[in-house]
Amino acid sequence: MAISTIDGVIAGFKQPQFIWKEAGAATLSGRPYTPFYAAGIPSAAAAPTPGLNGTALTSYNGQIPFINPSSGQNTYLARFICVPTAQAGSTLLLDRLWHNSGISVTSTTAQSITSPTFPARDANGSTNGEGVYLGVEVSSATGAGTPTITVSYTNSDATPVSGRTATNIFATSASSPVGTFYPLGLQAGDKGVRSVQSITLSATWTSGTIHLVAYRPLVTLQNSGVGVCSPVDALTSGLVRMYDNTVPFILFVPNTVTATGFTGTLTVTQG
Amino acid sequence: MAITTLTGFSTGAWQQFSYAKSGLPTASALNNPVFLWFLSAGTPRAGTGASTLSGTVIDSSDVGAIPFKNPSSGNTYLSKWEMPSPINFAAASALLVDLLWVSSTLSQVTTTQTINSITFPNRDINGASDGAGVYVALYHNVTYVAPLSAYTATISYTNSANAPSRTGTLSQNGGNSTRSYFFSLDDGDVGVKSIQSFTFSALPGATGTSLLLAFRPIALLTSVTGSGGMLARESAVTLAAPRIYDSSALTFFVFNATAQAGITLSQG
Repeated sequence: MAISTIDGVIAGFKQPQFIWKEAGAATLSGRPYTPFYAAGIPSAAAAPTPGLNGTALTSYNGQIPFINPSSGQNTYLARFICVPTAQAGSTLLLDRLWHNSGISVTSTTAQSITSPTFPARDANGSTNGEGVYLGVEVSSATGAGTPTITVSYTNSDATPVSGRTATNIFATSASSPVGTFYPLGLQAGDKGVRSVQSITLSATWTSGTIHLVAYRPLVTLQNSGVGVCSPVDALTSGLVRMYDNTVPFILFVPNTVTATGFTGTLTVTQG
Repeated sequence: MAITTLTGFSTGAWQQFSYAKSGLPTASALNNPVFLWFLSAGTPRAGTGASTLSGTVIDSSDVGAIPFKNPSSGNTYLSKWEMPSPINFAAASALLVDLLWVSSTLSQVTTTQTINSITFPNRDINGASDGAGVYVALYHNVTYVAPLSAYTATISYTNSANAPSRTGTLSQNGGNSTRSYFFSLDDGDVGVKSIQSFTFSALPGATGTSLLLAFRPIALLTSVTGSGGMLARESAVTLAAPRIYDSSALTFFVFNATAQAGITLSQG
């Protein structure tokens, strides 16, 4: 049953989950960074190893803890606050739906991927992929090279269209450190990603480990300065739905280059 | 009975508290918070530690805790929190916590010290003693003096799923008095049920001491910055009304320098 009243929100409040992440590698202005692999609370995630086809996720060590509601109930975001320790920026809360491994960072030919069906956690709670996006995540620092990343995918349309192309929004950098996250821009007109067919690097990245990640953005926080956050609650976040088995993790869009830690809490309401 | 409506917060019994401390170090860091429990200047007065490494359970009756009273029936929730800008107008955050347990001062040695903590109170995230949502900090209760050393500290603990021999770690480059450092938990863990041992890889400084704390985070609030007289304020709805279990020992970790806050608890 959906929550449709303020009293319903209040009745369903759960206890907050604590977030405290140590500063990781230096960042680059505007280029997203995830503390997923940084030590702290929750614990550092291990680099995924499911192979090129990847795995659909219903949980993963290193995620912010998420507990499904009782049968018949829904979960909504009730409060999210996350404070960066060293710079301004913005913090996104994401649901991690799928990730892979085994991408060759030296190959410049298309590497085939047959992704399994993503979990039914797109913007509409289905597997169609609306509101699901892709990023390339670095779990071991890359080497020399600044490849363009191209991913072939099938979109989320009612009649899915394959052969669509996504490319990195921000230029890649040599020696991209652990936690670097390159969001991929979708082809014109697309609203999301249903599945992934291949990844191609235009040039070698020499070394390192990267992963493709499919995610759904849940909410974005403003961090107008060091140690500052404008938190969101059930109302200001738009009572955003968090489907069963959500795998929450955070992504930070930094203003400058300073390695940054994070402190925050995530609270949901269920009913 | 739980409060389940907006009206419930206004009709429930209220308890309001003001909190003010001075003497914070100016060099407090945003990721290594100051722990206000042991600061002597202000309200409430300084709390005390334990006399053994196995520690002592802390509750609302202890000096240092915000002295809230348990409800005659029903539950207690955080329903308002106000925090003015710090004196230096720098950005600051405060983490309201329930302090569950403290140890005595650790020996300044690099050999493993047995802790074997006594059972934590039934105040984890679920109101149980399993330890879900309970975390551990190393607190420097006496300033370490030069030469300061980089060190790693580890704890061996039992997690909230009752798995023993888990390892929590922290790495630092020496530390100041009143600073605290949170332990990162082992892979996949979501809380600490008990602590079995503690080890320094190197001593943080020539002299100085530390102890261990176990706490449950309740809510985080950031200040409004930029000029004097700014006030951050949040309500039951925006705070998502976190539960305050009976006998909670409420105190603060402060990220950067601020030491004033007012909180309101609603009971019903």
